[in-house]
Amino acid sequence: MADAAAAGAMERGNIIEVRGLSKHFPIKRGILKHTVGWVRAVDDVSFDVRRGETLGLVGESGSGKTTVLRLLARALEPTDGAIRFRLADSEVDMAVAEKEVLRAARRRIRVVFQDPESSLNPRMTVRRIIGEPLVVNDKLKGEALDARVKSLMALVGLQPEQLNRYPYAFSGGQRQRIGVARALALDPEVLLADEPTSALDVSVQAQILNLLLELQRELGLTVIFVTHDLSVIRHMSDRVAVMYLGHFVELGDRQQIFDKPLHPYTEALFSGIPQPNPHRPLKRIVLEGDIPDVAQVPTGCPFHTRCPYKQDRCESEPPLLAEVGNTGRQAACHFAAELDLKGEQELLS
Amino acid sequence: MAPERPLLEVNDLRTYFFTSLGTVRAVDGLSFSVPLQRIVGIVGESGCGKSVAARSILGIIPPPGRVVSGSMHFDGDQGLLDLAALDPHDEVYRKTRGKEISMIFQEPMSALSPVHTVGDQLVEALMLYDEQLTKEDARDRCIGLLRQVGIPSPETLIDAYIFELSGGMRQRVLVAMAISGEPKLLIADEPTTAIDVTIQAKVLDLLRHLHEEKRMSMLFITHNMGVIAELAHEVIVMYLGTVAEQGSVNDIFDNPQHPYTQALLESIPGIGVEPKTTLQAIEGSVPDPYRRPPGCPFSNRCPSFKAGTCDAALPPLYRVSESQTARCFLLEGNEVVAEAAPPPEVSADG
Ligand SMILES: Nc1ncnc2c1ncn2[C@@H]1O[C@H](COP(=O)(O)OP(=O)(O)O)[C@@H](O)[C@H]1O
Ligand SMILES: Nc1ncnc2c1ncn2[C@@H]1O[C@H](COP(=O)(O)OP(=O)(O)O)[C@@H](O)[C@H]1O
Ligand code: SF4
Ligand SMILES: [Mg+2]
Ligand SMILES: [Mg+2]
Repeated sequence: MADAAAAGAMERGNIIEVRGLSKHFPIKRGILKHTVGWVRAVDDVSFDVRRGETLGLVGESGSGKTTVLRLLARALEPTDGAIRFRLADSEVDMAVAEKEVLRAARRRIRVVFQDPESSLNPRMTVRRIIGEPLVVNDKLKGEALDARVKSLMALVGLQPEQLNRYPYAFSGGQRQRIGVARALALDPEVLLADEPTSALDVSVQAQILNLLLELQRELGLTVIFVTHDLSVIRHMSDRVAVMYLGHFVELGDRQQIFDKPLHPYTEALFSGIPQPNPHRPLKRIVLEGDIPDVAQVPTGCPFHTRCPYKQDRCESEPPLLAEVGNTGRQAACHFAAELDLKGEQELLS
Repeated sequence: MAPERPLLEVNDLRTYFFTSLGTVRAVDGLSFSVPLQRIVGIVGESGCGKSVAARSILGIIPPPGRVVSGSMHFDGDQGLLDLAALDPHDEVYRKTRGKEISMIFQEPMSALSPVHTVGDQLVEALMLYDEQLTKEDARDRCIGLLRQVGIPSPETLIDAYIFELSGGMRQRVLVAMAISGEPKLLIADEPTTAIDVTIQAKVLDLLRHLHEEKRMSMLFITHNMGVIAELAHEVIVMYLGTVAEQGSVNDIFDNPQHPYTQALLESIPGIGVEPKTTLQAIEGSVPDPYRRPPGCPFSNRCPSFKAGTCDAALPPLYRVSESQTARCFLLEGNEVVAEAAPPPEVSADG
């Protein structure tokens, strides 16, 4: 089933092509707010997203995941790069699109946020929260609006008769359903989900993951799913991208990556997932030191200060994200082809 | 097995908050014990009373809350004490808190002062526990502690402020503070929830190492079943202020008996679960503390719910095996370890 879907996605080609995307934030100091340095939150990133697939974006906090999503939605101005969307009825470069084009594209590209608590206006009823994009964009009102809001509520598993309630009357999981309904209101093609379950309990997380999988199947959505939780990435993604300090360090098919990662950082991440199995804990790869400050990304390979396989050239020569052999997979490591890294099964003791 | 007296034995503990909206029974009939030199894990979803239970043991429940009944016997340097019967401001309690029982809090920033250096805070704690200690000796001990928790160049870091440290380093400073009095019992309340996997891995390794080296008993609180499997010897699964099930780590993961434990384990994605398939979610969410369901606290979400039984009364605690007990009517017929006691009639002023 999943394989057939992935093959289908391949035939339908790319819906997003990102090239050389960067976002550098200035660090300002002093009364005169001089720029004293730059945070390279996203640094020269290129990748494709296939129509109908879920691309999982994983990495530790501060690695630039949210910044990538905000750039894709053009909630942030990129420092550099191109973001081509091949939407059903138009092609746009989100990096440079203006006014009308941007507005039209934003209807098709919607975001679900991490924290349902703070992303929903507490003074608005559910009718207004979900209906707002419909009012603003489609000038819907009255009964037509109510009908559409109710059908969206039913779609995400909320009771339509609760449309006059305020967010506080809902549980965390239900609030996230409200956020999903709002994102779906304008029939988007692409859903950008930023840690949509990170603030939820595990039992409720399962409900929201199920909902997103079901909606994707039914509506044929393309999803970029961002999280720091590797078990969630594994469950949701067709392909996976691993971020470290503003860079993509590995990108490829989910199963292949979990079976045998090509980048040392991916291997270390896998080895750190606490397994709910007391008999088979993971063999841990303990990394040197903490994640460096993004304002001072190490020279050469950004991972070299912590990498257990580092060689001299890693300190000066930055490895580029490139295909490894003829695997169809990409990794940014000088030794990706030679290292024999362990996948999750091999890491189990 | 000769029954050795546990380091801590909590029996039918109830800690309530008397708010203007009503009474929150945050901890409601909680019983468990921490044997010497063991790691006991408490797992449960948010709001089930894990932090309130930990704070009850330390005697730091803020008003409008208080421990309303039950006992907490601690076998420490001052003999066997019932902490529940002591005034939290009592001299004996104060000597126990921090030194013999210490805690790593969930929010690292709230436990550390932003205007004092790491050294100032640690030295102060050390001198509090050991009045003979000179300032110079305390500083040396402090550097030793920082080294012990894996902080590189502690001679420099001792003069840093908290905001200058990374998340992982802050967590290590917290651990150093918590073990500075050489506690008999270390309570760790979600110490790795706010940090990243590669750092979490290190903090867990550190805690395990300290436990082994110092033979320190630990009460480890988390919502993460993976962390529990990795660290705990015994497991307590909490739901709405009470124990749903408890047993050895193998009991809980290999042979869970309570529908809540089973559902919790089935709802997590991971190795062994086919990607992109439907997960076994638990219906609904943890109830509002003001609107608990009648009978079994899990009754309104339970897939095995039996009307007339589960919503009629709180189930007693049944024995599953020598090491395992569960509070669920499905186990009717098994030996009853403890009858369900009704909540006491109490009011805000006791
Ligand atoms: N508006 C901003 N101004 C300055 N720095 C920012 C801003 N937004 C994000 N950053 C920085 O960019 C880096 C990447 O952040 P983010 O994309 O939020 O990471 P993630 O989502 O992976 O945790 C972080 O170091 C963050 O502090
Ligand atoms: N200061 C307080 N006032 C009122 N209710 C509280 C207070 N602290 C905790 N509670 C309530 O007690 C219950 C248990 O909380 P807590 O122990 O923090 O849960 P957990 O740590 O398991 O997430 C919750 O319903 C919470 O709302
Ligand atoms: S390039 Fe060098 S430092 Fe970077 S991941 Fe590969 S081996 Fe490690
Ligand atoms: Mg983020
Ligand atoms: Mg808590």
